[in-house]
Amino acid sequence: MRKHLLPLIILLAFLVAQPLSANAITPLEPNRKCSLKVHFTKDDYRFSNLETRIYRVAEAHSDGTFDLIAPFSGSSVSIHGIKSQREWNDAAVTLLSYIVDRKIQPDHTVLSDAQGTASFTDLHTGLYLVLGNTAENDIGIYTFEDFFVYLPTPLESEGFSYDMEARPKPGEFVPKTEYTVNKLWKDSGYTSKRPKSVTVDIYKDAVLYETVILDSSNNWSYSWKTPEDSSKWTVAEKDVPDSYTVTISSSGSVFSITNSIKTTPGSPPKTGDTFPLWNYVIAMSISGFLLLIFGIWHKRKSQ
Amino acid sequence: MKKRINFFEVLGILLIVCSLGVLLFTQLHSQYTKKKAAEITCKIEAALPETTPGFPGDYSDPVMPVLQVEGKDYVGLLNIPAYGLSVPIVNEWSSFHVFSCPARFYGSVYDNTMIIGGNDQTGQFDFFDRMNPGDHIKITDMLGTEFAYAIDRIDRAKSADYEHLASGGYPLTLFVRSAYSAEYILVRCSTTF
Repeated sequence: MRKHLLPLIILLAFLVAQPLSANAITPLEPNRKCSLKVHFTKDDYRFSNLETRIYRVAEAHSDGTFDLIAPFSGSSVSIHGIKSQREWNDAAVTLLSYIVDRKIQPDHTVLSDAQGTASFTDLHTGLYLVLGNTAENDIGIYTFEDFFVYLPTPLESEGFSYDMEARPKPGEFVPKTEYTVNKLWKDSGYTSKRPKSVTVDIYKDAVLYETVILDSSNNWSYSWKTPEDSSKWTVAEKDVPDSYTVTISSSGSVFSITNSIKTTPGSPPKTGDTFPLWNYVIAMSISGFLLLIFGIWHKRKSQ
Repeated sequence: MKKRINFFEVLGILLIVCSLGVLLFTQLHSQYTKKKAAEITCKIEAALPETTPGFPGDYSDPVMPVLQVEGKDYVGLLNIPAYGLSVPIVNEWSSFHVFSCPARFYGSVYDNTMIIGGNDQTGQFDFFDRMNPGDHIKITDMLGTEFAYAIDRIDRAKSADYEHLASGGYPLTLFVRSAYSAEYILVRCSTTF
């Protein structure tokens, strides 16, 4: 969990949700150049020579809102209405899958310097996806997760900061020996549109590792063994059906690919359990006993 | 003198045998569904990531994703630790499905409107009449997100239409029709975080 990024993410959600011009005295300048410094440190240790890639995924408008730009506008990711860090994480995982699957090159790539700082200058305003890294020192191996940065960033007082610094918090690298990908659906009421199977590409460090088919025979789930190294795994669904949008989430060693159809909630069902089975069983038993007694009585009487 | 079985005796024996047959069938069926539900639960648990706590306000889309296992869509796992219950929740409501597993009647844990119906047969909600306010209930969605609840109150009602089940605005309502008293037991729950 990227708790260190929570304030930023809340801010991002606010920015996407509503224009800022009504609140900010100083309007956003969409054409002004920005800079970004990402500090890769762990306590006093500074990780140098880390290749850091950033993608400009959305452009900023003067009213403070922003929209996905090509090639990301072709993805099914929606950055509007996001309400939580969880949903920003899903957006990052889904965009990364889109990047890997379509071999999209980063807008900028730099190496961190001796101070562990990756410096980007002359950036356009917009929303950037910063890809994380795995770094190693004498003490251990650490992972820096992917995260979003909004340029410029609104200041608490007023106006915007066009020069942003980010300090992603390193997490302890936990080796994993098995990964799983699950196929989930959000298509209640429209399951007839669901395909019989889906094809999923599994990538190891952005290189195609395996292609698998998920269907009812494997309960729409697949697991694969991995060496205990720091490889970065991603998954991507091929040929998503037209009527569906795809979201990919990642938790631990499990990827979940969710295909959604925009549905409207139907009317509530009836409980339908109006058949009181036990009442009938009891009535049947009592009737049976009474008939049996009557039959015996009737036979004795006729004798 | 030859004793012949008359029509009334035949019909009486037939009805008694049928009753016993239904009793036997329901017992065998509940044993089978209990075993089947345990298998499905194991398969779902094996596929899910480690659970993380969930908060209903985190979701812009209240629709819960489903995982299809053995041809049936499941929306999550229902866990009531005090009674050792851990069963999958079928996504689509039908009065037939509840003989196998609890089913989502309406709503979502993402927006505090979840209503789940069940059956009081062995292996499912056979302990409903022993539940108490304060008992804990957990629902895990298919992304491994766990939502925690505690029982607020337990009501009994003659009918269980949507308006009745949704009244009170409880984040989670479980309901089951009592087999013997022909009334519904409604378990109203609040979130606990």
